[in-house]
Amino acid sequence: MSIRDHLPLVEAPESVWEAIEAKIRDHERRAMRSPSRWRWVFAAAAAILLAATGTWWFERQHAGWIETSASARTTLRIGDIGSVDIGPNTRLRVVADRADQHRLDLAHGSIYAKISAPPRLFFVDTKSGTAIDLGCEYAMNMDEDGVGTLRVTKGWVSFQWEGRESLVPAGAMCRIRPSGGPGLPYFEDAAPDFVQSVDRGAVDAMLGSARVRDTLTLWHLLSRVAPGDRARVYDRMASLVPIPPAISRERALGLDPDTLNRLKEELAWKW
Amino acid sequence: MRWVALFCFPAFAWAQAFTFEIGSPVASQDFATKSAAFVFRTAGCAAPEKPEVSATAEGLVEGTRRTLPLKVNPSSKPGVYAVFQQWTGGRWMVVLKGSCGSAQAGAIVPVGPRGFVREDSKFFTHPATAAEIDAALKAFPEGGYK
Repeated sequence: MSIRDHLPLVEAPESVWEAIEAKIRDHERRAMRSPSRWRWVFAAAAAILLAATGTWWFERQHAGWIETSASARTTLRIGDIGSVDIGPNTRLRVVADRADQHRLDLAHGSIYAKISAPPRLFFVDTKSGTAIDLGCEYAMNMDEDGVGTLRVTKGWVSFQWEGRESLVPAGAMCRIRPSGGPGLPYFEDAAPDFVQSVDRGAVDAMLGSARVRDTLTLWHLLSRVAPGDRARVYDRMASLVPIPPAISRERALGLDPDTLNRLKEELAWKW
Repeated sequence: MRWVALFCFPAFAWAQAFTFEIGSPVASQDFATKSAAFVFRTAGCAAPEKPEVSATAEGLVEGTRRTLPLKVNPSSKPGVYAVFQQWTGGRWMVVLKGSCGSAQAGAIVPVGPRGFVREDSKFFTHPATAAEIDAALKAFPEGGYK
């Protein structure tokens, strides 16, 4: 199914019906003189005209909601860039379906997106933020209150909410909450103690149980802890992964965007 | 002589051996590599875009030793390359080979169903020898990586 198959029915303009009726009248006149088989040909042509016109009209209107029942699943094609598997009990709608932007609004339920396109062409809005595809496959589950999870299986996804961003690479996940947007991302193979400390927001426990790969979480934590705690988060990362001298500790503690980006690029080689 | 030694030592201390570093596709920051088995870069070469690199897949399929030349795909980041899976079945490793002037480097990277196995990857200051490759293949866990 493509997005267009699930746009809502909207009444076509009067001129369309008049044109169809004219065609039918013309067909009837001809049928009086033509062999009977031609009646079927004209009937088919009229039906095709009606369907084509209706489809054209659907494209020009606002998208409606797609809802699946408790036992239903379906797949939505996203232009030429991929597809979204829609799970049971899911409600979502198409916000945009253009060459430069494909955007869904997920009210609740579960989706699995498989996108093969340059970054930032596919977006999924939720009550608690927006998932921005950076070239990936991922699963997202949301309840009606905006609580959910984002799990990435290939590539990476950026989840943003009011200036807060979580970069979630393959093998990692993050929790999503309406009051705080994306949580700290963590790798799913992290130790249970570490995962529990992330869920509790327990900084000491996180720092104590982090392994090299968990610098994904610590890098995000750096910009979310109180200023007085940044130094120990940074130093813990530096103890796990050698940080090149060209990356300034002072600038990182000051949350300089360019420095943080370079730090992330360096740490990513260990993720 | 002491003064000469003082000036020379810092220079030697800062020099880094030519070597490979491997990472998951996110390390390349290039969406085109998202499906790669892994990405890699070199370190310790004076001009990052100048090392010559190549890769082969070495494997054991139903008891038969197999070698598969691989295409090394440059990413949009200078000096970063991607290796995509071109092998099926059996037990496989990717063997990287690189040269930077007179310096050489090698790496053996086992791969499994969940991607490359970082903890069992080996890095050398020379191209991996046949004996090192065979030893790495024999070191695969019973039943392969899960």
